[in-house]
Amino acid sequence: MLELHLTAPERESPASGPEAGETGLYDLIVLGGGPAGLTAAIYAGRARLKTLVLTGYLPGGQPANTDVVENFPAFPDGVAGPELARLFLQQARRFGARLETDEAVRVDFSTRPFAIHTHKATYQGRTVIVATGVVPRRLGVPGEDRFFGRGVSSCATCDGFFYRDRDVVVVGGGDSALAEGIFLTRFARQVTIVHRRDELRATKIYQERAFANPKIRFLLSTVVEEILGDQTVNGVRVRNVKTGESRIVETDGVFIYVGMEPRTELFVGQLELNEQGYVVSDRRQRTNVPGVFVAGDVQDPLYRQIVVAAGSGAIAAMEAEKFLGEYPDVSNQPGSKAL
Amino acid sequence: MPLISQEIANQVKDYFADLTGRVRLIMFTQEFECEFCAETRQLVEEIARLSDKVEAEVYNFVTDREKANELGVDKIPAIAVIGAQDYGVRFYGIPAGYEFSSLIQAIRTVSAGRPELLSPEGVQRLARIGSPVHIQVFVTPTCPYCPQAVVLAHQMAVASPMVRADMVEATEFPHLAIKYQVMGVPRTVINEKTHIEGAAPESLVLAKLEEALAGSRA
Amino acid sequence: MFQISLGAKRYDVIVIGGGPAGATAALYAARAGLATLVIDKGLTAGALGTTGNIVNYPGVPGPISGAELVRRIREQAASFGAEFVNDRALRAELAGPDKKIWGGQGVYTGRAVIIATGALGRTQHIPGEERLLGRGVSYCATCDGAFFRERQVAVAGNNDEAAEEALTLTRFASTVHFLSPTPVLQASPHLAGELRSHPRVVFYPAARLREIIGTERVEMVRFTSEGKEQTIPVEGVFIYLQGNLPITDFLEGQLPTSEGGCLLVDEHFQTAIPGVFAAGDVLCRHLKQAVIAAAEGAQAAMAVDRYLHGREKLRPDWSK
Repeated sequence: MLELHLTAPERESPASGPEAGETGLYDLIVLGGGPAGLTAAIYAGRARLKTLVLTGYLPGGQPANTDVVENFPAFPDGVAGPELARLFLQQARRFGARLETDEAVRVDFSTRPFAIHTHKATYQGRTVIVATGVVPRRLGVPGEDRFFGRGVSSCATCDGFFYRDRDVVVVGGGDSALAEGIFLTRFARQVTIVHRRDELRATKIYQERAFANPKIRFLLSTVVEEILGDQTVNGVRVRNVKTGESRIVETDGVFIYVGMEPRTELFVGQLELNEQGYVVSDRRQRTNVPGVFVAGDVQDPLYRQIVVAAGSGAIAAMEAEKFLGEYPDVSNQPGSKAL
Repeated sequence: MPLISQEIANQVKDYFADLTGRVRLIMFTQEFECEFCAETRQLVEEIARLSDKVEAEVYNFVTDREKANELGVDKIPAIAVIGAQDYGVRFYGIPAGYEFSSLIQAIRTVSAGRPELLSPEGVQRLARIGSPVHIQVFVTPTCPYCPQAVVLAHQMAVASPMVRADMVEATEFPHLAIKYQVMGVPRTVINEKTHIEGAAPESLVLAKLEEALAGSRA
Repeated sequence: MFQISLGAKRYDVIVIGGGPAGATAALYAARAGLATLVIDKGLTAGALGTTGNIVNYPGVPGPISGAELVRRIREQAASFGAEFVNDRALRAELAGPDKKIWGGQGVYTGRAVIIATGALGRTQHIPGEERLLGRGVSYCATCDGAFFRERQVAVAGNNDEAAEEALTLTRFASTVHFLSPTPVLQASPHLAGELRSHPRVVFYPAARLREIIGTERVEMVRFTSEGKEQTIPVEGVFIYLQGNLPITDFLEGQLPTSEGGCLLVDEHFQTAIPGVFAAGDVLCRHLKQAVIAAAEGAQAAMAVDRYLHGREKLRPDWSK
């Protein structure tokens, strides 16, 4: 059998405003379609809340980009990331959530119902769950932007194929860098892992696997200073932070796994964010705005696990349901706010 | 040995239940020297069995050269998704992995005969296009972001008679990947020269499209 | 899958309770390379054990039974090296670098502990139960069964734990009067079958224990079964009934609890005693959902990893 992924075809995009009933008002709008957002949708659906999920351009979230997930509980043999993503999406739909591969570009949490503006439409929600997740951090070095897509990437599962029998550099020292480095050895001739510290951050199981792989070598205490190339990448200039020595490492590709940044630009000035830009929440997933909840990696700089994100999504949905029970009336009549 | 599992076949049948217009999947293959031709052919034939509104027609790229030229097909395996008209929707390479969804979506859109997923503003902008536009979206089957870019391009092809759009599976056409320096997917190439990295939103793709045409007029 | 572990080994972490919280904690701990032991009473002993159709556990369309869901998580934990022992915690010594847990089958030693015992505990409310504890009333057949050789005993309960304990007692007692609060046993089929067909077992369906009678020791039990009240002479009463309170009795007050009996932890799921963590329903933080318990188990295990390796920051275990 051929490996085939089927995500449900998209429904018609709204001409203006959502289709949910006459008032165009949702009980819950979930921003983000990763494990947190989709678990929230599952729980909201079970509670019969009229729910809209704006999944953005990667429905399923980070798992969709992950080769294999070994530690999401209930899968004793592990599960392919995209398959897990598909299961989450299917379940959310089954419980009645409306999913749109659309993304918020502006939000207004100043009054209820909350307004969510996307490229295509404006939606209104009596409650909102922010579950926008994180994005890969960039190195911020010369050449990175120029060569992005032409030798620089943050997605080994997407782009690994193009480096068959070539040499690649993976920047980073955590589990992602090592796991993706190991993945790349399926294609690449050699994988060089470059990390700025002198010891790797990754958990033991990944370090053991990486050290055992003959195609992987390590450059520790090393940072990338510049990505070089002509039409495409042909090398990186690196510097040893201990000796100060710089040199050029020839490579055909650079994969960057140096951590993640929370996607919270939209909420600056509306939601309380911590120093690193993560949304501040309490144990009940509440933000500083009553009726706006948060779940998943966007409020979790520490754990960043699929099951932890899913758990927080379930809590957020149940809190939203409770909130609606206590505060059913919205302060404005829908439609009377200027959109 | 079927390529489509029973579970997925049932889902596809559901999605095809409300098809209105007839769709022909016109496939070009050849007997040898084509790595995925046999599988693509089988896939197309299995899909056609899932709805009586969908038909598969298989041609030989070598001996049916005229037909290939008529449809502008220049490499194989190729699938042209034709409805009441030829909207310029093409798949080059096997639409497996995530791209299977793109093919199912293309069939639905072509059957409906209108770009149901574009915004009204987008449809208007495309109506103003007066010169030919060729969009090629490079993908790999394991790229989860890619279907968005493919589906968007095909919507534009259906929206405007000036636009034709191809999914190009990069691993099967390495010479094209090299030609356009594709090392990350999805990569959208408009009229040979204008490139977009990643799955961009409709407004950005339209802007790049208009830019590509303005450039060529200058 | 389950290895009998007799406690000679010093583990890195002992997880008490093998439900979604405990099994997920064990999965994460084992995968992080920690020597992990789970002390668990059986697949049907916990809240999920009697849940029939779960459809909202994310990633598992279901319907799936609670026991099957837990079984899968345990299998996953075992695949990374977590060990499981079929036992229950009766006593614990938690202070200091070496934590000891006394079970019915042995003593287990670990550098850290995760308490994930859930919330099926009950207050002692049957008249006579508290007064006669240790004088005929017991919660542990493997501990106390030998005292009832050729005597009559009663067992109150309806799950795997109760069934197994009753079968243990058949090796000693002349007759085991099994009082099941439900008409049908909610234990695994083979255990239920073995119990029901045992020549020394008398089964009373829909039985409610009303009073344990005796002056110095247990002499009789009074109960109703299918509406009819009965009093029978027994010398021992073994109780495995379930309530809805956090199970913390084995801690004997070593850890502070809330008014509702829930264990208290900080934001990293650590209790007041360093090296002792807790997760799941025993914390009564949220509505009881398997995915929430699993999430807490994962977080507690990651905190244990940090505690044992003395690292400043948590190291997220990414599967990506």
